[in-house]
Amino acid sequence: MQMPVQKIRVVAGTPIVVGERRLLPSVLVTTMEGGDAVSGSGGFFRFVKARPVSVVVEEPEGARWLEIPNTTENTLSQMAAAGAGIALVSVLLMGLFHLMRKR
Amino acid sequence: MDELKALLEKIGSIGDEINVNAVFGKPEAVGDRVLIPVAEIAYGFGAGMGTGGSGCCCDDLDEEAAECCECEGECDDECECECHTEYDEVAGGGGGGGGGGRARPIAYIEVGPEGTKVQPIMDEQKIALAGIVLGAWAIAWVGMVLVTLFHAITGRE
Repeated sequence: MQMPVQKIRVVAGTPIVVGERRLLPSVLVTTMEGGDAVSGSGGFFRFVKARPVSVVVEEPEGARWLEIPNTTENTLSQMAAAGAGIALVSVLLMGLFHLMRKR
Repeated sequence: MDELKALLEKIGSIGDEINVNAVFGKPEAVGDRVLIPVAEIAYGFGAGMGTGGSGCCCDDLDEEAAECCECEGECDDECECECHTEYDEVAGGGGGGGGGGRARPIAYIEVGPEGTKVQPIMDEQKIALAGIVLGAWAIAWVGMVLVTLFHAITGRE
């Protein structure tokens, strides 16, 4: 059985033309594949995730780079950080109160 | 099996090419603006296959079956067996596979007279659920801190 192999690469998409503007999209493609298909028995899998990263906008005034944020993921990460912070502060406070009680 | 793998690799490589252009949707004109939907997409597939009981080596057969076999050469992996009973060419196999995918809108690009903007789309349901979990988590920790504080003040266990 082979170990799963993960590949991450940024791929440029087909340019989108809107009037005088030309948009050049780029996508982060994460591929994971694994398994053993050489022998008579076995199995394998392939997983692909494509996430838009940015768009380069070519306008008559010049080119601009626009990031495409994943707002949901960013908010969830901030909430997870807040949860970890609450737990840390609570543990410190409880330790402090235990010390107070011993004195 | 190799043919199946080659086929799935081919499907996978086609998928890569499709992916990149599927992430950015078809531009749609809305009034004097053009909106381009942007989505995060993911898909996966897997397959498995198995064979068993080929009975081509005498070592693999039980005693009764082995007696009716005539081996040519050594009984190793490459041994050719000739069986003359119902044990002859006992073989079986099976396989299966499956796959799935999803697409989630994460933003749209607005191209208008005032310029090009990226407008993010938030998954409110996911955020609301995470908010409830975070609230419960915070209440639990605050409760534990208050209980500890109470015990510290009163000196009780």
